[in-house]
Amino acid sequence: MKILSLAIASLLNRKFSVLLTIIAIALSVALLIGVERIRNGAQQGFNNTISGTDLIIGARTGQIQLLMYSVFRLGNATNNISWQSYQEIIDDPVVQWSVPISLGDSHRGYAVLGTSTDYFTYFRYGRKQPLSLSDGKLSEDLFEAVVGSEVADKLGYSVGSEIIIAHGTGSTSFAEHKDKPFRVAGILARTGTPVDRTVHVSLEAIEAIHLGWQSGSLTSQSAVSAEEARKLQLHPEKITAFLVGVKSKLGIFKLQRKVNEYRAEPLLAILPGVALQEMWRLLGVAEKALFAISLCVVVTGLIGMLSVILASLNERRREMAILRSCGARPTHVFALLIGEAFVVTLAGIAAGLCVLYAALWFVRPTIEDRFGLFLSMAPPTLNELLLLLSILVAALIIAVLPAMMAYRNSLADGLTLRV
Amino acid sequence: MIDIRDVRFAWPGSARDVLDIDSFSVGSGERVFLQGPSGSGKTTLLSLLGAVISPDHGTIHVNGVDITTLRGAVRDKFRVDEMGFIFQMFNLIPYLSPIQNVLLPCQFSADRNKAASSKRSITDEAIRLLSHLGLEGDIVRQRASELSVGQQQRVAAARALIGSPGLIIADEPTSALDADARVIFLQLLFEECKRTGASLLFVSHDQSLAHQFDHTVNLSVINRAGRAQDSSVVQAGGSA
Ligand SMILES: Nc1ncnc2c1ncn2[C@@H]1O[C@H](COP(=O)(O)OP(=O)(O)OP(=O)(O)O)[C@@H](O)[C@H]1O
Ligand SMILES: [Mg+2]
Repeated sequence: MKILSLAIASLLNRKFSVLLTIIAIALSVALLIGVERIRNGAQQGFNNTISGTDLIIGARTGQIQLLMYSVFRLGNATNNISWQSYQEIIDDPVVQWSVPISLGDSHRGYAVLGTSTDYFTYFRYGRKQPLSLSDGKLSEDLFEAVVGSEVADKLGYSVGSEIIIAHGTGSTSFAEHKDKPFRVAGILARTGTPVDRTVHVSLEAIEAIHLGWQSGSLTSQSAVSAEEARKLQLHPEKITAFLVGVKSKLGIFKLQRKVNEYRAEPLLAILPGVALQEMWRLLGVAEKALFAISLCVVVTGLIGMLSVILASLNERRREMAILRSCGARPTHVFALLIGEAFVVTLAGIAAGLCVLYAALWFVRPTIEDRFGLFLSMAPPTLNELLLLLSILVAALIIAVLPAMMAYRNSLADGLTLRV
Repeated sequence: MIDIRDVRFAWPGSARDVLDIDSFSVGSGERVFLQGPSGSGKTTLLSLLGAVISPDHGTIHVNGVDITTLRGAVRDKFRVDEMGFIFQMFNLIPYLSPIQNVLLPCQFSADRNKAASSKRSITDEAIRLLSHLGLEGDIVRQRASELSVGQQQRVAAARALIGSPGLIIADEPTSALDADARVIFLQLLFEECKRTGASLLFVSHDQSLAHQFDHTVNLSVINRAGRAQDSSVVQAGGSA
């Protein structure tokens, strides 16, 4: 204890350089734990994109590719599923509910999803939360759409706004379904998932806007007006994928096998949880790199501390000799320097946590709003505490170097006070 | 108090002995003045007495204990329990107050702590010693680096004296002081040594102080190594 108070007195004597060191460590700690929070927030958000769906079924492709386009609206399906196969599979007695989805068109960069009203009944995200409307109601007319909250926010839509759907994906698509404008019927409440960036219409509407379209362009002679389309009996012939909920969990694997062995066309059934995990492992490289960088910053902070302590050693040889003449043992001299590193690092960690929580407090609403990333303000988790503890231990290990040098000096110098 | 027999010492890496002393002793309560030319090994002798370095040969008894047999932690404990040190200059930890500086030996030695707190709290004892040595008021709580050199030496003396160690070892404590401060310092040091009954081994090359001590010892007289070195220097000079 007396050594520790001596260490503190000695540090106070070098306020300026010690303060700079503490700031460096504090910033690095704030960065490290901040990155940790972002990683966790991102993973949480990622895993929350879909829940309560037991299987996602699409044309045969990679597991991640199917997940990408069906859940994240990224990339394109290579093949579709025929309506007939869809019907045959959902006839299976283990199927409790199913939601067809049809992708491929877009609206100003946002994906357009053709689906049934079951989508709004069965789709779940996060902790099995259902979708809800923040304004308006579900589509009733063929040319009505329900838009996600980000679509409404960013494009300034409200109930009643008119939107034109573009053929194909990407915001630069030139072929637009101008002849069949849609009206916004409802706006979904924010979910923090890709649903926010989606325009939802009915499967029939997807059929309707493609009436008379041949391989990506409108053949004028066969064009059908919106009014005519409303009167037609439209039946979807193909869908992109469908989501399935089963009656009992035991049925999942049975159905998955059945789909994967389906004869009429090559299909793939994936478990969303498993696919999400695999995809996160791919993204994990970037995430790990981020973590590694912030670890390097912490090491830089600790090396800064090391150099401050080392720089002080020479001018403090006399101090050590005085302590020795007053009965301090070489181990006390050793402990004094380790104690200094301990105090500096502890102060750095404490200050770092203050910086972190202050920063979180300020940026959290913006980040949640802009990126749909939820950052936790909770007290440090066990994992984070372990990280902080290892920083402290690393600091003490690093401090062994100057402590050893001071120890050796104090043995060699003895009581002789050299100028 | 001190009894040295047949001690030889050479600094590591040096071929020649710095010290080669047949016998040297300081009695209990005695005040001994140790003089000798610069580089003759006075400070080295004090380091041997303080058990900071060990002789290559011979025995050194301090208060009846042969310190050459002590090892590691026991030596460090013995040093602070039995001895107080005053150096030429820069005696104090600059960022501690005079009181905190004086209390340092009590932090590391239970014996000194106990002795210092026998009549009053150790802080009061430190204040008492400081005031005896002429340091009173706010000055005892300021940073030690703000004190004048003479004041710093008096704080060092108080630190050597606190907890009444049997032996005070002073290595040219007055050489940084002017004549008046030197007289006052010596007087105060003597008074306090008398009060606690401590022996005093005082190193200086200021001949004018010698008469105030019980004994004067010239290191170049008792040190055979020094004589050999001096003659070799003379020879080297003669042939140049
Ligand atoms: N720590 C050390 N390591 C190696 N050699 C040393 C060390 N301390 C002193 N010496 C050498 O030992 C010899 C005696 O030095 P010492 O300091 O004992 O002399 P001194 O009598 O105290 O001189 P001064 O009056 O100038 O203080 C010198 O030649 C010096 O170079
Ligand atoms: Mg000397």
